[in-house]
Amino acid sequence: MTLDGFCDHTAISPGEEIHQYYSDLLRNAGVLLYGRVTYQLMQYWQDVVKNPTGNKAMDEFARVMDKTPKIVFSRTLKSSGWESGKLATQGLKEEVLALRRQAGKDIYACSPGLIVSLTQLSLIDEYQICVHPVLAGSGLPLFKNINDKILLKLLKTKTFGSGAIVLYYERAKNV
Amino acid sequence: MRKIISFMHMSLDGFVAGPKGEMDWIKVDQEIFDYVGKRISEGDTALYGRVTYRMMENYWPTAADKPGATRHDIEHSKWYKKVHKIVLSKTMNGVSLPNTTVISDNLADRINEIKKEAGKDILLFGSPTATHALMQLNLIDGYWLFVNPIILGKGIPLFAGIKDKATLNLLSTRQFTCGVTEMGYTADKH
Repeated sequence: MTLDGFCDHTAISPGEEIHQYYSDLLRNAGVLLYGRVTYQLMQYWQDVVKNPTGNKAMDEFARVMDKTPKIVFSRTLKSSGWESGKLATQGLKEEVLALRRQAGKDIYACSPGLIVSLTQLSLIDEYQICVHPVLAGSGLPLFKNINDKILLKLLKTKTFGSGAIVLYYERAKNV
Repeated sequence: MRKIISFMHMSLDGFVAGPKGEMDWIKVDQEIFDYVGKRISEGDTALYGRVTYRMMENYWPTAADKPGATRHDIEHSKWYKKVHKIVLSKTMNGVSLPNTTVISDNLADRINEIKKEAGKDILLFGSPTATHALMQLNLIDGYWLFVNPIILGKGIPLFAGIKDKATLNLLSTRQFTCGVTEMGYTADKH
């Protein structure tokens, strides 16, 4: 997310440190949930696996991303087009409730739309928001269509050399 | 050149007040007062919009004299009375106040003159309307933000009318016990 609240991968420059951080995160992820748009954006990494960039951190991220299991929520896609990806067979709520019941590693919601929908369903246990030191001015807001205040509890923060900060929150118990 | 730094409490989703100006979600405590007090007390000039200025005028000049005044009340009241105040207001045009400059027109020229004067960086306290006016003129040189652990969903945004993408430099960040995260930035101007 940019400091002014937009999701725009073109506005930010992640750099080596952030690619490494997210490679480690993905290695410990059970499954990644995507909407179609972000999923198709991520398919970029399939090409990087085939044609490495020469940038070590990016190529490593591509390899890890390529292997991590994914579920994509889409009404229009006929196939996942990715060995590690599959199409959701149920609605978001049912799918996520079923995944949560299974033993396994954490489930990551990786699209702005899914983050908002799951927030509305009170199905997000923890938020890990990486705030980049950028003002985009316009774009797709991460938190839109949130009608009620969401109270959070700060768990920790992590600062990168680029000036990006990851804020870790859990959903606070409403009092 | 002195910098103008926007000093704001904001929600994780970038709002500085609720739709009706609500600020009851903002967390402040002695730990935050002590931390911000250190930087504020180094400044010799404070910048406000009219609404925030009126709020300040109603509270700070006499805050130290009230029964039960806290250490923060006493310290900030003393500072408030001596600091040079700049108020952006169209309606207060021509009003003469001690130790106070009212800017009603030629905003860019007047602010740039002040920036060229010798002195410390100038904190812009809250004041979303004034902040937006300065933001649109690209006159804000940095942000000193206190991000609260809340998603408000709607309200008055901090950032509005930014035309060009800008990269900032992170200068400082700190976690407070109450769950607030400080993020201090300067704008990278080319």
